[in-house]
Amino acid sequence: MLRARRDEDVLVLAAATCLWGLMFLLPWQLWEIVTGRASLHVDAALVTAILYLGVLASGGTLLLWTYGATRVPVTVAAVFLALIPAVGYAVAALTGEALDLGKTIGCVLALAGTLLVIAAAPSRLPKV
Amino acid sequence: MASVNAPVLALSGAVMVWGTTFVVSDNALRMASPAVLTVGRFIVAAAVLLFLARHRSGLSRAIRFWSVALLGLTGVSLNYGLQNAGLLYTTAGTAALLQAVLPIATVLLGWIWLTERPGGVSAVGLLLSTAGVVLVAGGAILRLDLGALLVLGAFSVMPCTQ
Repeated sequence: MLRARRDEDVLVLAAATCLWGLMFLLPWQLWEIVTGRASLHVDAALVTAILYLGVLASGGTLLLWTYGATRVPVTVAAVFLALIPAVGYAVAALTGEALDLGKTIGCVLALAGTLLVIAAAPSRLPKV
Repeated sequence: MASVNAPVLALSGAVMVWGTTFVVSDNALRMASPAVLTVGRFIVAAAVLLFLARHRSGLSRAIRFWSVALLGLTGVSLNYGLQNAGLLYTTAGTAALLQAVLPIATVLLGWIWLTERPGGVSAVGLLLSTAGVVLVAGGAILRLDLGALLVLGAFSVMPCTQ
């Protein structure tokens, strides 16, 4: 679907996608409210988290992913998805979680696989 | 010095941020229910993106495309909604293990729909990355419970956005 809209302005495409995504999330929110499952304890930590998740982790990544995924072969975009847990582990390790040999090897493999896929498809990627 | 590839940098940036969100979401879910948190973050995201795009031409036209609506449904609502809901009912290890199916599922769909067949080197790279994800999941046991099905649903719709 992203490929079909690759000539669209990236910012416009990300904004329109986000708006539709929000619309489709509203019935879930309504269901939580109606069934009494909705909960909200507002404090500074939650506001900071929602701002981070909204601006960077949702808006920012939607923009970056829309731009990147419309300009690379599917294999390249796909292999980046494997890096998410590897980055998650690296972040946890950097913030104090004990290192695990198997997980560290997994991170290296995920990174090596990503670099291999990128190296195999250089001609189709525009250069800065 | 080799030139830098802008789309690859963009994908790297997105992945770097996504990699940090689990810790933030996990903490935030103690203060807000999954729908409240998910809707809250996308209200902020939509406000920022629509503000930035307000002077661009084609915004109202893009909103009317069914394929953009479908992108919103799969790439945003189902992906984030099912993930957040699923994490309530399964372990983080199971979710991490299920993530291993994402790259290969995406490539298979790209192969079928876009006829983009991966080359031999790319296939090796994909297998290496998938093995890496399994190792990062670190001996987690795959529990096929309701949460696992929801997370699998979230990961299954993601390839459709490509």
